[in-house]
Amino acid sequence: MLPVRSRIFVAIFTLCVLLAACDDDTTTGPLQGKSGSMARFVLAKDHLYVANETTIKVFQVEANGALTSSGAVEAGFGIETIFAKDDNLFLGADNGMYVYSIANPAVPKFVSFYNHIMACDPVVVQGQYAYVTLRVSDCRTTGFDAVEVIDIRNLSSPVRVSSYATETPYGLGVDNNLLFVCQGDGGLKVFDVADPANVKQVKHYTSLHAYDVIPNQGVLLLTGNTGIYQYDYSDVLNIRQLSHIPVAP
Amino acid sequence: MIRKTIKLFLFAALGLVLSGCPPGDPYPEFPVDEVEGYKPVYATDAEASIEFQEARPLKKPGKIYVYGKYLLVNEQSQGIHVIDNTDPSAPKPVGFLRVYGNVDMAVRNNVLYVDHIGDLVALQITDLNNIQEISRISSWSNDLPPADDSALEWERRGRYFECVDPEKGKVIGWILTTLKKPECYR
Repeated sequence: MLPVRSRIFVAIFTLCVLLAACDDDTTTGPLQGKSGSMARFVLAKDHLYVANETTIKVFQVEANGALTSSGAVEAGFGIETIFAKDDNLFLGADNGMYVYSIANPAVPKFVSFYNHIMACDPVVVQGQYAYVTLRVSDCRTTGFDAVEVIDIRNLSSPVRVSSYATETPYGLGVDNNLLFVCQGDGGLKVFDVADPANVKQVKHYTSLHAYDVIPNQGVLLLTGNTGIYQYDYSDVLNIRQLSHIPVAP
Repeated sequence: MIRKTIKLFLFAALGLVLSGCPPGDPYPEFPVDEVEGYKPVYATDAEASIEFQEARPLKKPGKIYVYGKYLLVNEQSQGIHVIDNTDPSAPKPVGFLRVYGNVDMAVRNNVLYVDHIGDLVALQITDLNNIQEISRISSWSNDLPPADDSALEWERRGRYFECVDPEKGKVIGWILTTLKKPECYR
């Protein structure tokens, strides 16, 4: 038996080693890319998750990057998009938003379902809020097109904070106080979401087709039928176009 | 495929009986003469293989993905444009990765994950001119034409399609055209 002081030393030493190991995980993490909100693939916790209509297909990423199938989880219906944040997956589905826990990465586990009747919708998450677009045009016969802000502090019971009518929204992206919403032929709308209960429109680009966006460190990447556009949004008051790759005639 | 279609009919009929609700569309009749529908596009294994090629213009851009200095742009069901985006005000085309049937992608540690004609494939892309396939998992059927993705399951506006003949090769896509006496429907 070690003297008390030595035991305390061993305990502290062990704790330090454990903490350092955790630190290492984050600093030497894998180099990973970033998708738009319409993605059906997402990489998280050494797994690739694929949203596939009614299931989440789960694949383990081996050390060399190869995939092995870990099975599938029946999730809902009409699952169109998938977004990962920390220990959770957020699925945009035909009838709402599903939240699944990946605390055990091999087996996503149902946490909650946020029902918004019927709409096509991707979802993105930042901090304690989820942002969802509801597109009814060309898609559903009832309801209206909107962007919703949902409070997800309590993941098992998401609550709507606010809702804003937009035209035919598709993909969306959020970075700090800016929310970018694609509206197909209706172009791109930029909202200020500093106050989630009081979202304000900042800008509306109309002369392009907008399908999906990726906000990436001050540069917004946008894809649509009219090509690829990039915008500098580092100065909120002076968002400017950087480039446009057009589609071939 | 015909058997599948019959099963589908029975299923739909059962649904009708159980729900008592009329479907969104009347059930199709067979045979039909000329009708708009999907026709499979075939390719041989070699033609359908993944290949890094010269850059080509965007035609129907789909989803996008950012990885380090690279911007990846899906060309709907054709592959992935690889663009050097070191300077976002002057993106430079690097090449085109031909991946038929592709819709989605993700990258981690220089491994690109793509859907390729029903398979989920992992590609080592450290050297774009020497891409190595490191795993391939058959994950989806590519033998059905695209569903009308904007409609509800029970409201889907169905389409006739030309039944797939595996003898002709792999189905790498579908085109909407006028069909003569098609025998499949979804």
